[in-house]
Amino acid sequence: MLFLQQLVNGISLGAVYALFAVGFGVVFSTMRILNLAQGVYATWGALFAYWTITEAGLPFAVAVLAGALAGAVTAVAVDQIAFQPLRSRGGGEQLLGTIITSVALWISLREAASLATGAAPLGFPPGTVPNDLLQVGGVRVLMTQILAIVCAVAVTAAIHLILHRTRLGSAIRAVGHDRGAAMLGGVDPRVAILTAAALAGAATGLAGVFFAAGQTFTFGLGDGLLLHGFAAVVIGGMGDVRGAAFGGFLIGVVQVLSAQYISASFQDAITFGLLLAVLVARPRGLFRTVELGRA
Amino acid sequence: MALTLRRRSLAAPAAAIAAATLASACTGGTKEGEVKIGFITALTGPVAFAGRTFANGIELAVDQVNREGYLGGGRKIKLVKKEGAEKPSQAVDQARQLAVDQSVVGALCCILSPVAGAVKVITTDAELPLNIYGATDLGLQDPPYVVRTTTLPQVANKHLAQAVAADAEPASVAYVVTQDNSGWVSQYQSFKEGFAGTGVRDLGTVNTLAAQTDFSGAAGELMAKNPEAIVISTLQQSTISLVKALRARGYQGLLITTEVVGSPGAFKAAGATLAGVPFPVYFFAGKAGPAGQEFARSYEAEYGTDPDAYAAQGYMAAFMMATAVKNAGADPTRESVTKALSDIERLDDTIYGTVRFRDGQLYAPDSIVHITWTKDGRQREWAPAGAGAA
Repeated sequence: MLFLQQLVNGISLGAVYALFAVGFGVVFSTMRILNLAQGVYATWGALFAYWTITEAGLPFAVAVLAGALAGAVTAVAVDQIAFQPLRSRGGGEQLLGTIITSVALWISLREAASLATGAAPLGFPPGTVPNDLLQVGGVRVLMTQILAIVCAVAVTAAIHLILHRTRLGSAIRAVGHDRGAAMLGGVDPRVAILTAAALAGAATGLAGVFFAAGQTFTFGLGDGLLLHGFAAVVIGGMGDVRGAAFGGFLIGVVQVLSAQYISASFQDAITFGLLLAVLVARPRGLFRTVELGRA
Repeated sequence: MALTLRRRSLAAPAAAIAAATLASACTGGTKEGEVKIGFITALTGPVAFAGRTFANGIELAVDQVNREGYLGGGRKIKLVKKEGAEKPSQAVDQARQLAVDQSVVGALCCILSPVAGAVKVITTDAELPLNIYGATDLGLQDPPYVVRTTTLPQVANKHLAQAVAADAEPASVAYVVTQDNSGWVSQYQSFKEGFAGTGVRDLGTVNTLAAQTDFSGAAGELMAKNPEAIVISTLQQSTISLVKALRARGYQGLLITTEVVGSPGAFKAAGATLAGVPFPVYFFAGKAGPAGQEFARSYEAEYGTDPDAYAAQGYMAAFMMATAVKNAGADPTRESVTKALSDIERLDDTIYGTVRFRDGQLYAPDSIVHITWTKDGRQREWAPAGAGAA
């Protein structure tokens, strides 16, 4: 019974990582940016969801949407402020340059969140989050855990369908594959990139909201998500949102079960050991994907 | 030749700096009636929420000391504030700046034990007396240059564990600890010492990490042990998250924790889930003596909220430093303030009542109060409601 309980806990934690990894993967596969500022999109998503409830008095469902919107707006703003100038000067393809730029944005946005919150721990007020407890046999599942899992699956499916079944998705993938050729084919790369950034930001914002629901969080919320989300996307594969989501679920389950049955002290070591093992065995991830080394 | 020229070009500014340093060293600690005390603040960074409260207490004490002429002779304390953000490298840089300014005759610092450990090396080398106001790891004090007014949570935790065993009589207890932080391990061990020999069965410990942010697994593991009481010895954010996670999953037993949930900010983040969770503090306005009551009134008037344990610790740190400056004579220097700090063995009528110092560490066991939050966000003394089965 304890195993099942922890498996459920792992899957629900993995759902958050999956949402984050999907966003991370969309940005990398479209723009070739290893965006280390992605974590703070989750932070700002959680913060706007929190303020939607505490300041505006609106329900959790609206807060979830506000979190997604905040993530999307943050992602688009970061892209236009930091990455677009690089692209316009021909530096957008340089992995190192964009990484350094994204680190600067990460620190700036993180400190802005610290100032906005006074670095205090925050939590959704009791009763504002649907935290009903369901008991299936001896397994306890919170409504927020179910919502996170459903949301992760739905968002992954939606983004996959957008990318593979719509003209806009084709344009996004074309820009990711070869921007010059896509432009020759009549694709406006700016629209494709902004759409990809917004999708990634929204998914990451949702990750932040569900991560914050039911516990406390601080301005550093996104930092933990970044590392685990990055591991998830490398394990699953950066070129396929389904793979990224699978990697997220896998990381969550491994993290919780290893803490329970091996050692809480080594849960991160085990998680990132898994990352290393996958990189050695399948350098392009468990699913078909693009390679990190491409510049 | 070029090397000689370079040496000459460096010699002039080096000599100027040396002369300026020597000159400032000769001026002693006073300048127009001011006595400079360094204060490494933590108004930004990972624990800014606590740093602000500590700073409130320190500033209130200094204002009061200056307003009441506590030092005598028209002298006043001037705080030389340096933002350390409770990051070791930044705090060390700020400590170095204070160390080279010979007009600074004392320093106040540090919430986190690793930061205190790093800073005290710098201040000790400079023979600058340091009073640690918040860091809790055992053995951080190192007289004569390092004293500590942090009220030790370990003593209070042990006290609370013994009271819980006697009054609530839980049959069993499980523990959860931030195991990669020595301060929290130390606090966890003090709870275990308190329960040892009381007949309360130890069901084991769940480890968490300082960087951990999801506690669903830890909550599941704790509940699987089916304890009647759970002791939470973790960082503030972890503690609140664990309380929430356990209550949300239907845990009905007694939760016991540390002073870390004593701030209004903690209640704001946790809400009514903290109601009924006992934790020990050294300062509780509801049971304080005259000096403590006056401190609570002044604090509320200045900041619009009741003081918590951190505000009290800040206030006490500044008050002790002021007392040392007062006792150091008309022209306090680092040497005389160091000696005056070391000579303080007892202070009466403080906000904690009577406190004693042993090997540079403040002790106030008679001041410990076990309190809890009410559902509407007030603090009251804790009384057991009985520990139910999980």
